[in-house]
Amino acid sequence: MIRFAALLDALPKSPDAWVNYAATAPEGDRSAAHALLSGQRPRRIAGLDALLHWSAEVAAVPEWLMQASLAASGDKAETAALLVPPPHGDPPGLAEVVDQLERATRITAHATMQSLWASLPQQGNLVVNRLASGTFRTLFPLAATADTGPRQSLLAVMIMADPLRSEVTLALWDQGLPVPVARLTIGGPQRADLMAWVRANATGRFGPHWQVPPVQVFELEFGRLTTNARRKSRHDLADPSLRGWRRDLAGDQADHLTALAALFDRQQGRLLAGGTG
Amino acid sequence: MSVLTFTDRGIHCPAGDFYIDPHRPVARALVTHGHSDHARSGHGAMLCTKAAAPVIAHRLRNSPETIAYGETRQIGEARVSFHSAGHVVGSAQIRVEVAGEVWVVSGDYKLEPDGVSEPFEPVRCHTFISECTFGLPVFRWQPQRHVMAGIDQWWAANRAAGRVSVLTAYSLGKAQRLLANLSRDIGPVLCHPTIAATNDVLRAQGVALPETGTLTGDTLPGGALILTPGAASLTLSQPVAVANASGWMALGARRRMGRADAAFVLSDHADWPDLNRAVRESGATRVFATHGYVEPFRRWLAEAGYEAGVVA
Repeated sequence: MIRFAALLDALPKSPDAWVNYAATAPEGDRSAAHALLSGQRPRRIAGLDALLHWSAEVAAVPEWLMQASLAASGDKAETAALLVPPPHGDPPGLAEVVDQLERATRITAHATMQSLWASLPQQGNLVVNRLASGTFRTLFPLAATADTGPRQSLLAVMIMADPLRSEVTLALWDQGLPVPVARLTIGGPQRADLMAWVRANATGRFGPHWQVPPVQVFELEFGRLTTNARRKSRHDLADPSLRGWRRDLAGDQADHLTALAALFDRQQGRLLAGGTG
Repeated sequence: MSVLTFTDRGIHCPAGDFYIDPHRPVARALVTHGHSDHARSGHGAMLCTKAAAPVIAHRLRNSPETIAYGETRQIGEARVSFHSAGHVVGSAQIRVEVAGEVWVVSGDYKLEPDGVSEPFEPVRCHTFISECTFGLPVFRWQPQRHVMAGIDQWWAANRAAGRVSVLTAYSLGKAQRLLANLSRDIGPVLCHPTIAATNDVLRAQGVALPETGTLTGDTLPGGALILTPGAASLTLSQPVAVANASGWMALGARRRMGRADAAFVLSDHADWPDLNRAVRESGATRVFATHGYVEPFRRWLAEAGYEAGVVA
């Protein structure tokens, strides 16, 4: 459970985190983690307000002090996790935690939470609270986890970059305007050259992100496409990576958003065809 | 008359006509430690511990009068003595006794020995004025060795991935605590010039600190750990990972605000259980809360049966 909590911490920044976790976690924990990060969830057994009150009760913290604590944290699941007293005994693995949550009913939920809290340190409690209350949101950045479909690629143009993090934001054209489709970390020998170019050509800054003219083109490779109405591009790209910096191309030679839609259609067709076999 | 009173210049002792950690210039100041919200310039005379004096002299460019831990000094009608607070090197609680009544001003403190600062010494008193920076029950620290092991792991992983590790820490206190407790086997340690200067001052007074390099250019040895008061001013030509080490990192909202790659919960202030323990061990029946979550801490103590107020 502790390692799963650490994995959740590391996932957004380190694509290797899953690989490392999967290589070392016991089989049961690994499949439980994979299921959770793929969107499967145990049934919600209690609301956040109930968890908060139960945690205050077990910590012998009065209602007003719990409210003061919540005001400092701003997060009910976190406040509950931080309030409960330190654990005793060995912490259960993720598979066992999920199993206990699955078996809990509304009537036994209180006892289940008390027993889990009694054996888990703060970071484990936070994950348990989110799982128990149905507020666990983390999903795989599908990186090296599973089959993300055949690799496909497009030519995308850089519109922003963060030089301490070596991160670039790539876009496709839509009616003359660049629409962001992926943000990813770059490495390799060309990184220094690229970041020097960013520093010399930036036209503005938004926090750590430097805006650059849309003239540098990259071959952007990715796995399966999924629709996401919250993105301007309407799609998420699984496991994006850079195949190369196309210094031979001009910015307007990058692909258009319609090319992404076409790839998505083709991908759906392939999946459908596969389904009939 | 009260042994200590609360004025717009800070905590005042009418019997000795001195102030403790005053926030405005006064004729005579007793100072608990060298952090800038406690030791300010412009006072007529300043008294601090022998161990706190070099850093205060370095920061404020003056020469405070000094007193040894446990030594008693008569100031007017008041007898004062300084007792270690475990916060940073030289930090003190100040005990003030007037006509047999004893008050103690905690300054900033922590109970867990950190390997660098003089360990906290409980001082019996009638009235205890306690800081409460982390005076809520959500603040409960892990033992120092766990936190240090976590930082070592992060540093080693960065090294393996070809990244330089940048760790932000206060230049007085946290930086030396990290230096003294982190592994010496992972890679070279470089200190920001502000931290390096503080280290030199402390070494000169006999504090044992490992030798480190000073951050000068932007080219670094592979696998280095950089200790800096703030990461924003650094320009490095290598891939880096940035981490914050602070008690505030217990809260997700603070971690996200810090925008670092990693966060470690490490504080030179007492956590909730230790604030309560310090109050208990002082033997005081009256407590005033200052610096931090004063109102919740006051109410908590009042409900526990103490005569409790806030420094105002």
